[in-house]
Amino acid sequence: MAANAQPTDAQPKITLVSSDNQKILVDRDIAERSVLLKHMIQDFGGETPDQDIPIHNVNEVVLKKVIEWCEHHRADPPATAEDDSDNRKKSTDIEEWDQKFMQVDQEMLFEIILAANYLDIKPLLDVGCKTVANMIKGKSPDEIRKTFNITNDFTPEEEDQIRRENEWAEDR
Amino acid sequence: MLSNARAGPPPTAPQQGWFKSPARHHAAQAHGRDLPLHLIALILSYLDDVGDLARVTRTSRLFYYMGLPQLYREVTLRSYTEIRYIDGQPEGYGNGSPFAMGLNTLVSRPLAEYVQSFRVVGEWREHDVDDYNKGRVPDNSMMLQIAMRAALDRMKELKAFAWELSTKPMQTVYEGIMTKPSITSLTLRSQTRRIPRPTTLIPLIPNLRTLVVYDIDPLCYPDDISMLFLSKNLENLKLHWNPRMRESGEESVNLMNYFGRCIAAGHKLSVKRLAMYNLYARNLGDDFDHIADQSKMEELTMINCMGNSDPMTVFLDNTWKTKKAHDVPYNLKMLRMDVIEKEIATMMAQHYGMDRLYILDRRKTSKAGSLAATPITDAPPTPFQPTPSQPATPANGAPLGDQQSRSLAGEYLAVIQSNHCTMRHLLLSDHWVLSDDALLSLCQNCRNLEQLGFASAMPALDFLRRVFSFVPKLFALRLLVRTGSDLAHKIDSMESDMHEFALATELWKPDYKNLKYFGLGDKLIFKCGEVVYPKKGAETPVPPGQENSLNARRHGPIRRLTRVEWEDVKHVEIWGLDTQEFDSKFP
Repeated sequence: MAANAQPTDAQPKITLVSSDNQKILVDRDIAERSVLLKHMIQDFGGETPDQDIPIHNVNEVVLKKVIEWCEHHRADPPATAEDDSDNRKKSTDIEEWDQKFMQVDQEMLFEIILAANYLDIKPLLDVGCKTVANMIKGKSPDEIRKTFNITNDFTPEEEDQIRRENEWAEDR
Repeated sequence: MLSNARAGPPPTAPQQGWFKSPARHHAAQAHGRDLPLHLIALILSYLDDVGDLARVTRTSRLFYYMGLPQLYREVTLRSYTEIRYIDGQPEGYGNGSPFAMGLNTLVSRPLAEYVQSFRVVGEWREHDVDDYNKGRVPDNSMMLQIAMRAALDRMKELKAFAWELSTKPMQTVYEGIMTKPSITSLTLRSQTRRIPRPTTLIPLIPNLRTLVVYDIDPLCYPDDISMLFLSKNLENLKLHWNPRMRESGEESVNLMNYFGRCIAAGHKLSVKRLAMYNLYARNLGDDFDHIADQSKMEELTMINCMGNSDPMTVFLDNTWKTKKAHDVPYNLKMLRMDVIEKEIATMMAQHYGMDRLYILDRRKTSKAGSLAATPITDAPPTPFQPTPSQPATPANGAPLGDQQSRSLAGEYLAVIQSNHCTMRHLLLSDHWVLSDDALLSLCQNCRNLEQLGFASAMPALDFLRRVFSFVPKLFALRLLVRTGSDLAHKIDSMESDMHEFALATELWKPDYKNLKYFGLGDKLIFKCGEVVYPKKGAETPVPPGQENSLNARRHGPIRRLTRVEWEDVKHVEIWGLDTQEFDSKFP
């Protein structure tokens, strides 16, 4: 095992290994923003594990980005039911810092979403999905296709029929 | 990227790795992983505008199938008397109107099963109205009823139904909903024309929890809603009468017509949320005092009902007052009213633990018609310019003496602090200019305050900071400014940039760290962002001795403020509920 000298400061550290075999040292409470890691640590009997934890599905760049998010939100209180209902009302409201954080290319954005899903970091997953939802808002079908590289597999007749079926929804 | 299920490669397409969509070749970065379906579903769940959803379903088959269930969960069909044009073409060009095509889809395609909420709204063009005079319902109206019935019959999961067209539903539609045990919410718009037409007794809907009926006018052939009150589960009740009766002092509303059946059956209404608009009716005495189980009541909204300040309505309104004390709603949590009366303060003194109080000022919509069914948004407040020495005019009519108003304010504030220190949302009258002491005492006693709106003579900032240290949960603050007051002139005389700057250099202080929204009068509303600290080793160091100059303060620390509109803060109750406009949404 790689000898990471036991951190001397109060906060115990954990070594994560990305899919491309890079080691990243993080504070335990930051790692525990991930429910997956939290449970894993609990499986170690609550002790801070001294072994490396492999994160097979996430490469170094993405993992660092995710950790950056966790660091910023390390002190966030757990979401309450009340927050949730407020969030539903203004669903795509994203706080300033997160908005900036999510200003990455689409490839990266999707990688972050996948990583948040894998590591089970619900608030990050929500922010990611909201960001994508915001990119859809107000766009025409053509623009949406272009933005996300979606192939139109409708015939023109089918598309016209669907437009008519659902025209009620575009009334404002 | 968002994956594409059925996009197979054309025969000539080169096989590039595992990704086979031809569209991929245009993309510079033609790699990357597809999102799994459950994440696509999650993304779609954040689209709250059906228009966006509709456009997504048109992009590809995958999104069509993923998006449809959500698109059809809440369906609103809108009808218009005039053809509307989009880019020079009539809506629905080449086929039926969006209303008709939507109804057609619901009847002819298997989508109705997704529908949980179904609303029809707008003006329905009735043809051959003369038929009514011959004693017959015209065919075009009848066909609408039949088509609606057919659609309703296919909605197996329907929970909420709203008929908000200008013509009313008929027996055939009512029968369609009567047989659905899933229905828990019903919204009805009454018609406002006096054309004789069939009326019907609306059948009992056993699981009804929410009932909203609006534009009720006894002279316009309303259907009999009395049976609906017998539903044992009824929790939310919102009744809105046409404002016409109050305006002309016409005593045509007889509460017996609505609640007589309950009294006869010995059934007590046990509603949790009650909202009444424009009620003008006589109190019929003892029976009525016990019509509702007051201990169940949690939220009460009374807009343009009762109040003794209008000579036009005072005699009937006072019949509610001379009766002996009504039961006290011991569990009342929320009260929203546009009258300020001693009786209310007295009632509040008899129970404890309210957490929301909103006092609205009637002047905002004293114009006739503004209380009508279709809300007029952005209606400018009626000009109202008393000089400060004039007595306050709290409602449409007789003036309330300054002295009287002040003593009432005192009573309200006292009872809030003694019995209702649990208050979370508090919107006070903009006539009550709080003294520093009153404000301090209020905040010292009500430490749970999250939203607060009050009027005061601009207090000193360091005093405000001290006051707010008592209410750490406060996130929305409104300083109410009455139009035409000295303070209003003072505020108007300054550019909004100056206000913004003054606030930004104050609100960064840690005492305000939880504050999210700040309102100054009705026009200036700011959303508070992050605090910006001065950069270390800034290029323009502040010369010594000028630390307090404007320029120095501009470098921070300051709170980043964004000017927002009333629309943007509607989800914050002290703004959102500060309106007398009727909204059919409930609760």
